[in-house]
This record gives sequence, structure tokens and C-alpha cells, in this order.
Amino acid sequence: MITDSQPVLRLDGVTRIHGEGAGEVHALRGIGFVARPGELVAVMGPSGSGKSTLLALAGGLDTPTSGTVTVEGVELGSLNAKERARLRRTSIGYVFQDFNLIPALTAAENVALPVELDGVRTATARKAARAALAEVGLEDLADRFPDEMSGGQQQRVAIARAVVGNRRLILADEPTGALDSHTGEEVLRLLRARCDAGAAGVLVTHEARHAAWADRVVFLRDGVVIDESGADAADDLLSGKHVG
Amino acid sequence: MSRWWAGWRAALRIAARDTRRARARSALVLALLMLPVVAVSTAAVMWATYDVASDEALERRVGAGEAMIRVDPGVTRVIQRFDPDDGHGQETGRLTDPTWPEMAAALDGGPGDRPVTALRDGWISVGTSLGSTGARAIEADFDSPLIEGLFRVTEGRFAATPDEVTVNKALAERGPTLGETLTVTTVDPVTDTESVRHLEIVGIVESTRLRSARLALSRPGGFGAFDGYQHGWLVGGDPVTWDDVLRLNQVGAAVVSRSVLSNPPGLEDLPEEFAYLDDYVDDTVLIILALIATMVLIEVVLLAGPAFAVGARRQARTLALMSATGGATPAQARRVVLASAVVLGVTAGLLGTLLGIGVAWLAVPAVAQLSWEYPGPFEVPWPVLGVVAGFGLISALLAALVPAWIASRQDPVLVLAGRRGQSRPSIVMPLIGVLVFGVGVALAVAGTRQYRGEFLIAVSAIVCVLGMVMLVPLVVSGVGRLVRFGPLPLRFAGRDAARHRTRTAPAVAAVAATVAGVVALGIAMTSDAAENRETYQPRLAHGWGQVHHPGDREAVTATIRQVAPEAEFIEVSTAGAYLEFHVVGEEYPREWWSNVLDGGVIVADSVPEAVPGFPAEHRAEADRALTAGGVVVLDLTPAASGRVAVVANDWDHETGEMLDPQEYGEHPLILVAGDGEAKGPVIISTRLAQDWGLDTSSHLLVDGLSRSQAVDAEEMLAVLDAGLYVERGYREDRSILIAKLLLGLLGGVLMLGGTITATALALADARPDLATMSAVGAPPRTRRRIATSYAVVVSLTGALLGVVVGFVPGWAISVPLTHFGDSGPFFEVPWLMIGAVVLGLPVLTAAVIAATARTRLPMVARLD
Ligand SMILES: Nc1ncnc2c1ncn2[C@@H]1O[C@H](COP(=O)(O)OP(=O)(O)OP(=O)(O)O)[C@@H](O)[C@H]1O
Ligand SMILES: [Mg+2]
Repeated sequence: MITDSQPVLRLDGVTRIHGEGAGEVHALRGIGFVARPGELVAVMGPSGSGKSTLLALAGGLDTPTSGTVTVEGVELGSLNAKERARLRRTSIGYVFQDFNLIPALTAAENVALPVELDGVRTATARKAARAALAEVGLEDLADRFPDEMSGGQQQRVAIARAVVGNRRLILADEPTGALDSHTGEEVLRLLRARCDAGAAGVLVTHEARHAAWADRVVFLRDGVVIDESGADAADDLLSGKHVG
Repeated sequence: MSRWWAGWRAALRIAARDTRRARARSALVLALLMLPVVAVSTAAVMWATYDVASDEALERRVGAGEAMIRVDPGVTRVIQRFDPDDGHGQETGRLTDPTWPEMAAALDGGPGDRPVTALRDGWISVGTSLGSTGARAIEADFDSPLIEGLFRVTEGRFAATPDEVTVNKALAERGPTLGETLTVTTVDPVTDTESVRHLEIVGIVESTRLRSARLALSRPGGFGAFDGYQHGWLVGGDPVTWDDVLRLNQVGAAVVSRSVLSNPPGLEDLPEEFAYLDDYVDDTVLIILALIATMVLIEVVLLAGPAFAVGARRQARTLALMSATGGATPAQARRVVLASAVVLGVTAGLLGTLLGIGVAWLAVPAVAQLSWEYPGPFEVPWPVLGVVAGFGLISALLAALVPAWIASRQDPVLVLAGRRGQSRPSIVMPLIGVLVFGVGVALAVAGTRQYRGEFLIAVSAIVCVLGMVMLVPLVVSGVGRLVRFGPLPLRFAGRDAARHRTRTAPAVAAVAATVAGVVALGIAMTSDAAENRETYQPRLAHGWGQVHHPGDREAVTATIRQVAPEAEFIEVSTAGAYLEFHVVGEEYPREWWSNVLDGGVIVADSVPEAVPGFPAEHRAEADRALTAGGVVVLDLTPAASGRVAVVANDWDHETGEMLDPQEYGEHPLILVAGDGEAKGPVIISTRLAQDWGLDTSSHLLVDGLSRSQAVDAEEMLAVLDAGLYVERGYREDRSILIAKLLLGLLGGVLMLGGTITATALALADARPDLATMSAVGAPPRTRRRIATSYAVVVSLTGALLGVVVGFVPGWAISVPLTHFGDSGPFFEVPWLMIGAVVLGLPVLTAAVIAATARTRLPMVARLD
């Protein structure tokens, strides 16, 4: 396991306000958050508490109203759109609730997307994509289009896309939301394995059952962290279901 | 009945709400549907307003009278349409001026008690500050109440005596004006003497009908003797019937009758010469209009189609929900899509016609400034506009047809599962497409073998395009497979295009139809130009010039030498006699015609340098033959010699009677094959011309003028009333070049429109995909690259298809167009233009899209 010293993701005093004036919504209010290599952090909280907002900020898809977001030592606020895009395709992997595969591209092409966008030759990118697909057990479906796959298969492709090219920060927003429990477990196992291999993972979820896969759980309500439990606390909470 | 209506009412309500919500897309469709409606309704209103030759504005033509009776000089008999200005024919031979009693006898069988006033109408020459100019002149009694409505006094008053005159603004701008003196020069047609009169200008008076023609009005006798004047009588009293008109025609009068024009008799009453022509013209015009309307309809339907396809897909979820939860039937799904077509089509029709009326209302005065005629009262042809507005609705319904059909076959399970693609293309449709295309080709081939096959070919063009439209979906899915190894943006664009065929196919087809039209017309024009070039007959050897109406030759040569001191002059004589040449041993006389020196027989003792295409090696031989009293002819047939018998067929230039043929005997003949296509004249020696007693005239020819010298010389010779023609070989008509440019422009605009529409819709559709790409780290320029790739896929596929389709009618139409007798047909392909269309326009379109596409990717990865 890699040392804990340098966090992969760090949020300091992050506030995000949507809208203006009367319609102002404080999605996050002065949040601090850290995810270290090898660590899977679960984010829980009621609907509207700011979980997705947190993830969007961590992925550089959104910018905070105040505060800083740092990924692998680089402060996102100091980057322009181009550099942020580059960071997303080299360092950050995103998994969405509704899969978000591109229907016009095959499974392999979807997985190869970040690599190919980074300017790697198509053939090389395909090779990397096939390796990532093999990791999620889908090498046989490489040339299928998303329409021709089941939901679980699609989400596994999405995870392969999030990890391809050895990225160190995986952000997953309710990746199991649209899956049955068995397939959901399968997806979480893949995430866990990726973190054990050295990546930092952030998993947004509703279900306490899924939080058991995490090393740490962060609870959000109305845009603030109301509770944070270490790995041990989570173990206590759900005794008997320990996973290394 | 009521339930049927209820279903539609719900559909219309959903459609109306949807139309308001998807504002951008609705605006796009509205614009596409409205454009032709606006154009055609503007044209219809303008046409109706300017069409004053019918029963409108009759006071401008017959004043307060019942009819205007006009006799042109020398005319003995007339056949006319109901309105003689729409067409009339004349027989001449009258030696005396027509008189009112003569007309009255034809009209009323004797000198009735009709009110009548006489007008004389002709041309005069008036002095201006720069020299002189021509003007139309009318003498009339302006006190007659019958004349009211023909003229309008804008300043001063009418002429009261023959020593006074009024001019219109157009003439006053060129010469003397109110309060000054007008100097009029007229030529007496009988004595041929010139007389000059000085008239005082007492008013500015306009014709109510003619705007820009220069006009002078005076009392009878004011202009002295006219040259070639027309007599006219404005009559009042009883209505002048069509029978009256026909009787007046018999004495040489053309008649504009108020009662005939207000209530035209049946077409069967027209003289048969016109009845036949009327039919022909009407058919032709109708067929052409129908063809144009069909083409426009196809184009509009194809351009608007993608937007309806997207709209239908956006509604698919609602429809699927309706069918899953409320048991909505396929018919209801279809109805919702068609209802949006009804909403948009009706709006486009109404708005478009209103806009058209507005544009016409603004344009009429502006166009009047440019026209020689005053427009009639503003007139809106409501029935025509009704049809035009209906066109908007029909095109909308047609454009929505395929999306509606697909919506009704939607599988709700797939739709609700969020699958955004489309099923595999059916194979039946392309098969039918191939069949239809084959029929189109067959029609085109048939058209080339038939008299007046142009219509068949035009129909074949439409059939070919329809066949192609059915093939496009297959081609588009082929493209989706073809891009597999392309770079990411192209791969995405090509696959996405193939997956959304109902959106892509009409756009590709619209581009293809446009390109097909451009290619077909381009081939037609180029082939036509090729024919003109190949069959061009030079009038002189290259670089030689001919002075027309040289008059004072000393002055002309001096003038030309001023601009071109090096110029060389020669004089060449021709004989104007009509000679027939019978080559001994041949059954029929030879027809030797040429463009050289106005087609006359050249009289010379050696072949003049200025004769075009005369091969140098035959010159000596030809010169020897001429001195020996032979006949030399430049012909396409190989050089040969023999003997030729010459016969003169001439007529008496006074009486017009043929004279007895005069035989000039047999003479040695030398036929010389010309260089290239040059058909040369017949050349005879001066001695032969003298022997036969032929009248000759001499032409002044000049060599050695550069282009700019020729232009200068021409301008200076105009002062001497002389003209100059310099042979420069075949040169493409400027109007063809302009037509080609306009064609390219129109094609470019339509192509751009189709491509941009499709690309914008595709980008809107691809929003979730773009958001995903952004989330996985696509750089901002990815959106632009995808947009550009999309534009390239649509325009290039369309252009290539269009070229193939356009070749069929293009080749076919070149046959009747360039085939006369044994010359032609000519077929030439404008490769440069096609290259520009196939490569240039897609590049241009892609560039426009690349320049305008936003680079910002949608950031938040939410599905709409
Ligand atoms: N683009 C936006 N504009 C305005 N308000 C927004 C926007 N995005 C989110 N919000 C608001 O910010 C708050 C946090 O939203 P967020 O999506 O982060 O919640 P969440 O915890 O992910 O909820 P859920 O569990 O339902 O997904 C909510 O009140 C939401 O309404
Ligand atoms: Mg959320």
C-alpha cells in the first residue's frame, strides 16, 4: 500500500452556490474532504445534500464558488479548461449512475475514449482498452455497442473506462443505482479492487450496505459534513461484514 | 365523427405546446417552410400588380373612351389577340394614310355619331445640350374629354396650340425643360426632307402608362411631318364588341376595346393562329411551373425533414409513456407527430403569405423605379396565395410523414429503456429506390429520342431524385460502417449519423438533390457552350475588324489611326445578289452560306487576307483560279475541283415579285477545305461580277487593332454613327458565366442550409454524449471537431450521391439542347465546377461550421 502522506484528492473550505439572489441554493458550505491512495471513501447523505456536487467539483466538471480543490497536488482553480480536461483524461475516472456510455461507439471504443482523446494512437488505445475490459471480465464484448449489452455489462464498461490508462482517482456517483443487487455488488468489487491496487476512490451511495465496501464513510447534510467515520467505525457499524 | 375530432384535438394541443417549447427547432422549420411561400407569394403579388394589360387600369389605355383604334403605317390587315399588346400580326401594302371615315365604315357601317378624337404617334429627334436624342411624340386634342386618363400633368399645362409642347420628366432630364424651347427635327416620309420646328415647353406631362420612355406631346401639326407614324382614334359611344374589333382588323386597325378586355369572349373566338399558340404556351408554362414546384417541394421537405425527425424522437418518450400507461394506439402516436406538422405548416403558410404581401408592398415602388411601365393598383391574388399557403402545409405534412410513421411503430419498451438508436435499415426501401432510379434513367433515355423530350427529361430528373432519396438511408448506414478506422470525431459523427437515419437521411438527400440539380444544369450549360464553341463561325480572320456603316471613310480611317497608328486598312467588295450554284454532275444546288462579310459573295482577284480559315497552301492555286475566271469556295468537303453553273434568283425590290432566273453559264470551280470548322464564302473575280452585271458594295476592313485600341476606336466611331466588329474567335457568353456563378451560389446556399440544419440538430441530440466526453476528459475543441466531421459526412455523402444522380438528366438534356440537324449532340462535363461542388463546398461548409461551432462542451453530465 502506498503511503498516506500525499492525498490524491483534497477539498479545502469548498462552497458551491447555485443561482443568485432569492433562488440561491447552497449545495456545499465550507467542506473539507480528503481521499488518499488505496482508500475508498463512501459519501452518504439524503437527497439534495450535495453529494453529486461534491463529485462534480472533485472531477473538475464544476468550479467551487470559494475554496480549493486539489488533485494529485495540482490545484484545479489554477488550470484552464484545456488543462482541466487533460487532468480528467489522465488522472480522474468518472462512473455515473446512468452509465453514460456513448451509443455510437463500441465497448472497446468507449473504454479507449480517454486514452485516444489524449492523443495516443488508435491501435495502442485499443490495446489498453482491451486490457481494461479484461480486468472487468468483458473482453468478449469489446466490439458490441452499448445498446446490445445489459445494464450491468454497461456499468462494467463504464468502470473499465474510468480506470483505463492507470488513473489514480476514481469518482463514482451511485454506480449501482440502476442495477440489481447482485450486479451492484459485482461493480463495487471492481471498484474496491482498483483501490486496493493503489487508486483513491470516492463512492457516492444511498445504501449503507454498499458503504461497507469503503474504508471510510462521510455523511453530508445540507451541504456540510455532519459525521465522518473511520474504517474501524464502519466495521463496528456493520460488524461481520469486513472486507480487507 | 366527434371522436375522430377529439383525437386530433388532443394531438394538436400537445403539438402546439411542443412547438412553443422547442423554440429554436420550431423557428428553423418555420423558416425553411416559409421561405418558398414568401418568395412565391411576393412574386404572385408583384405579378398581379404589374399585370395591367388585362382589364385593370384601362383608363391608361383607352382614357375615358370605349376603344383605342390604332393603324400602323402601311398595314392593310391585322390579326390580334383580345389585347393586341399580347400579340398581333400584320399584313402590309397600304399606300395611303388611313382615315376616320374608313374606320367608321368598318366599325359602324357609316359615319356614326360616335364621339371620337384622333391621335398621331411617332418618333422625332429633339435637340439636347449634348447633341440630339430620340423621343416618342404624340399629337392629340387634349381638350377632348375622351383623352382623360391617358396623361397626367405634373407641372404647367397641356399644349394649347401647335407651337406649344409638353415633355415628360424623362425627356426634360435629357434636354430643355419647362419654359425653354424644344427643337424638333422630323423627316417627311414622302419627300424625305428634313424640317426643324421650335416649340415652347408649357408643361411637364407624363403618360400614365410608360414611365421611362422620353415623350413629347403637342397639338395636331405640332411636330410637322412624322417619320413612320401611327394613326390612332379614341372612340366613345357604344361598347366596341369583338365582332367590331374583327371588322376593324380587316382594314388594318389593331383595337384595344374596353368591353372586350373587361369581358373577353371564349378562346374559340380567337383567330386560329393564336388559338394554337395559346394552347402550346399554356401547356409549356404549366408543365414548367409544375416541375419547378415539385423540385422546390422535394427540397423543402428534405430540408425540413430532419427537424421533424428530431421532434418526433423527442416526443417518443411521452408517446411511449402514453402507450405503456394509458394504452395509446400507434395511430395516436402518428397523429401527435403529424399535428406538429399541421401547426407549423399552417403557421408557415399564413405567416409566409402575409410576409410575401408585405415584401411585395415594399418592393412595388422600388421596382417601379427600374421599370419602363407604371405598375397597376396594388393587387393581392387571394386564390393564388391560398394555393401557395397550402404549399406550406403540404410540405410540412410530407416532411413529417416518415417520422410519424416511425413514431407509430416505436417499441415502447426500447424507448423507455432509453435506447436512443434506430433499428437496422430495411432492404425493401432501397430496392424500390433502385427500381425508381432505373425508371428515371429509362425516362431520360426516352427523352433524348423524342421530339420535345425536354419535359420527359425534366420529369426523369425528379424521378431519379426520388429514387435516390429512397437509397440514402442505406448509403448513410454504409457510411457509418466505413468510418470505423477514421479518427475519433469522424467515427463518432459517421456512426451517429447512421444511428439517427431519419434525421440524417433527409439532410443528405437535400444536399444530394441540390448537387444533382447543379450538376445537371452545369452539364447542360457547358454542353451548350461547347456546341456554340464547336459550331462557331468566325466572320473574319482572327484579329481583323470590320467597320459597319463607315459613311465617310476618310474620317473613319483617320479616327482609327488616332488610336492605332499601325492599323492597316483594306476594302473588300461583296455582291448582294442571290446566286444559286449547281456543281456540274450534282442533282441539287449547293448551299454555301457563311458568316463572312454578312454572307455576301466576295468579289476579288485574290483571296483577301481577312477571309477566315483559308489554308495558306491553297492561296496561290485559288488566286490563279480567280484570275482565270473561276469560282473559289471554302467548304468543309475535301479540296476538289470541277465546274459550276451559276444562276441568279432575284426579285424586284419595288414590287417584291420574283424575276425570271438568269443563267450565268458554267465556270471552273475550286473547292478548298478550310482550317478547322471555318465555312467560307464564295469568291468570284471582279471580271465575273462585271460580266454578270452584279451590284457590289465595298466593306472597310482593318487589321492590327489590340483589344484596348478596338474599344477606344469603337467609342470614337460612335460619333460618326459607324460601328466596329473585331473578330476574336469564340468567346464564352458572359451571361453563361454569370448563370454558372449564380447556380453555384444557389447550390452552395442550399447545401450549406441542409448541412448546417442537420449538424445543429445532431449536436443538440448529441448533448449527453458530448457531456460524457467532457467528463472523461475531452478537450474543448472536441465539440468543434465533431461538428465539422458531421458536416463533412453529410455534405460529402450528399455531394457524391448528387453528382451521380445529376449526370443522368444532365447528359440527357444535353442531347436535345445541342442536337440540330447533323451537328451535335455535344456533351461536355464541367469538371472544374463539379470538383468545386464535391470537394469545395463540403470544405466550405465544414469551415463555416468549424468557425461558428461553440467549443464549450456541456459540463454537467445530466440527461435532459
Ligand atoms: N445546476 C444546478 N442549479 C441549481 N441548483 C442545483 C444545481 N445542481 C444542484 N443543485 C442543488 O444543489 C443541491 C445539491 O444537489 P446535488 O445534486 O449535489 O444533491 P445530491 O446529494 O446528489 O442528491 P441526490 O441524492 O438526489 O442525487 C440541491 O438542492 C440541488 O437542488
Ligand atoms: Mg446526486
